[in-house]
Amino acid sequence: MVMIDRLRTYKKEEVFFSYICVLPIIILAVTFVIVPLISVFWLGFTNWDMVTDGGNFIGLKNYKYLIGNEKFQKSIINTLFFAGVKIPLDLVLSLFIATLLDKKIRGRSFFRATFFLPVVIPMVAASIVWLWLYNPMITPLNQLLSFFHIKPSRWLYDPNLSMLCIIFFSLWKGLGYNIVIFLAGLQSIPDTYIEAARIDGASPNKIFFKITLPLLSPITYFVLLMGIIKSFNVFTQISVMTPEGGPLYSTGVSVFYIYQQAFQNYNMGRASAAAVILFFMILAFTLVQKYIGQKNIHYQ
Amino acid sequence: MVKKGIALIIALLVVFLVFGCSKADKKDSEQLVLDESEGPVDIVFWYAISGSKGEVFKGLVDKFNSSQDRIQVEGIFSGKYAETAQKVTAALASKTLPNGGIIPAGPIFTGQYGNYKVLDYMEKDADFDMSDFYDGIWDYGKYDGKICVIPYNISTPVMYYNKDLFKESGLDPDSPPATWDELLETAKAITKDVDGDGVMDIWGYNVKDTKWIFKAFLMQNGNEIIDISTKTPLFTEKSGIETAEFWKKMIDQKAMPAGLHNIAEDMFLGGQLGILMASSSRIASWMGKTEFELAAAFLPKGKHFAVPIGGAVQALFPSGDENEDIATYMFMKWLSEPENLAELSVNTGYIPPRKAVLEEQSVKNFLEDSPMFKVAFEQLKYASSYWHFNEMGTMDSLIWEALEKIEIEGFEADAAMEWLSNELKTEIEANE
Repeated sequence: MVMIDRLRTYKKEEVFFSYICVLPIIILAVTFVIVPLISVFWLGFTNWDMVTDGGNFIGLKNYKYLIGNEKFQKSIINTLFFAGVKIPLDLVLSLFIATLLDKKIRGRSFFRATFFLPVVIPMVAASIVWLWLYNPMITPLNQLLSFFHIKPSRWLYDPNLSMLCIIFFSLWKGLGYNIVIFLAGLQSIPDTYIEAARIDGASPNKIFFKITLPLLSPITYFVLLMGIIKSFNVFTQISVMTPEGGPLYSTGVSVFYIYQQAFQNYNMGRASAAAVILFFMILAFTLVQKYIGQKNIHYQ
Repeated sequence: MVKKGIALIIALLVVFLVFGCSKADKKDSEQLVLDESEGPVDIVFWYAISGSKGEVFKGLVDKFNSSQDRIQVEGIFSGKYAETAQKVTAALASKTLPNGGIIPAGPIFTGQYGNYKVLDYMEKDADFDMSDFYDGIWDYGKYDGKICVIPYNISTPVMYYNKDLFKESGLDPDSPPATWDELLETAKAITKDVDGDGVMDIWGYNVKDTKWIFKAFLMQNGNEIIDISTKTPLFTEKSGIETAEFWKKMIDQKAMPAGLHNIAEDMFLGGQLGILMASSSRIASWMGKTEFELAAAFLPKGKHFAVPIGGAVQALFPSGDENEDIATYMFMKWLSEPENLAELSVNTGYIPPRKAVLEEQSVKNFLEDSPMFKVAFEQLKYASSYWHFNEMGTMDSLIWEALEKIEIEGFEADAAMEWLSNELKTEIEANE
């Protein structure tokens, strides 16, 4: 009610002025987000090759091609695999580390900085370093393993391991960001709740699962949502570490497939159709999550 | 009535003929004249040559600008090949192309949308000696059988080898393998498992730029890769299957590691690889900097010597302003002069696309001092190329996949070539 009352009291000039203020950002958003978004839907029905004007309307041909294409199917499976393995690990690990870093331990700020450090490194630079770590011929990783008499592995060049290598790297790279968010969440929980529980004789485990975790649920929801969106859009490390999509296309994810179709094969229409499919996949996941979230999120 | 109609048509035809002829006559006598009434003409020229080699090109632009006052060229570095390709594509769509540029070869930039303007100019210009360029070089600049760009900084694959590893394996470091069979035997002799853990630590042979090298082998075996006039892939011909069989033999007999092409360069520089096939553009960056004694040789011959061509081309993008286009052409022509090409070659190691450059004294001295370049420069006479076509990028990624099928999935050579041929046909048909 308060909000509505306040809106009514704004003068016309004030409203007008505020629209002027947001105009630049609206123009930017329309030019670089809305218009491209809409044109992708249209381009998905054409055979545009980026050279001829607009291309011809070819109906559902691109979609038919994609649905029957082995490589595209593989890219979807790879994306789901990446998200399915990475997101749960990411959530559990970052929450666990955040809980530890929330305790009053010695060198706390050092550890916090250490865990956050990978986030600050540019993705391409980090990928190049890990590409070297994963090199099966000169790798320090294999030397380390041989120390424990484990047979050297081919890492990124083994079709069964390559995606796991990428996932491990991505975990290392992104963990710090989630830790910081969880830390902020943990610190926003009033000590009084925990103290009260402790006086009532609750065990530390019970406090964590019955008080901390439910109160963190909005944060967990945010981390999960961002995790899903980021996982579906993963590209940079894939393109740097496995420039051809890995052995037998084992690391070729959706965005990488779109990139290949658009900028290597110049099939912009087909790439757009693939992007539309990816869009609806992310939308579906987000909606499901929203539905589950409404039931399980407690805002205090 | 009918007669009148016929007469009219004939009259029209005559008019057209006369008009057409007079136009053609004009074309022959027309000179490329720059209109200087409004001062020097400014043009923008992109270049996809990076690092110290890019500096050399920048130096050439400055030299051109200071050598005359009619044309002022603004040279802009547009990123490496892949980046430039994306920028040109974007600029093409948004109609913000520069006047010209040194851009990676590809179908999409000129011929595909009917831009053959540079050919018009070259034909009109009596001073431009097109016959001095190698034939294979002109094929590299063609789309649909017609020249649409001028090849500029050229490279071909070269066979590099580690003389120290040759000596350690009891091989003569001065006689590198010259045939496919010798390549196989030499590589097998070098491959070793040093620490006995069942994994090879030193390999005989590997390739970088894998798709390009596979095409080299196809050409050496007399396979033309694609029948460009009908767009029919030729991988399943006997010569194609034989090539794939040889590739498989290199893997099966442990001459080449399976699926490790992306680290071939690291392996070679780290002294873990005897023979590496890679672009001649590496010579300049590696010469005198490796920890072992480095040498280069021709790619070994199959039925005959052959190498594919790589590197960038000079493209002219019509601006709608004839004067600017002529100025751009004049700059491109200047870049193609033997003296200026020599300056580029000597300072970067790119292979000159025309013969007269080899007569320049600076080039003679250069080749005397660095014999590895001599290998690359001389090998150009065996170079050939297919014309550009729309699916050439798709074809390359399919070649990569087919080789993976052989190397990792254990496909037979004929099955892999069958797969490759069918996939490429499907892609070509999908675009028609």
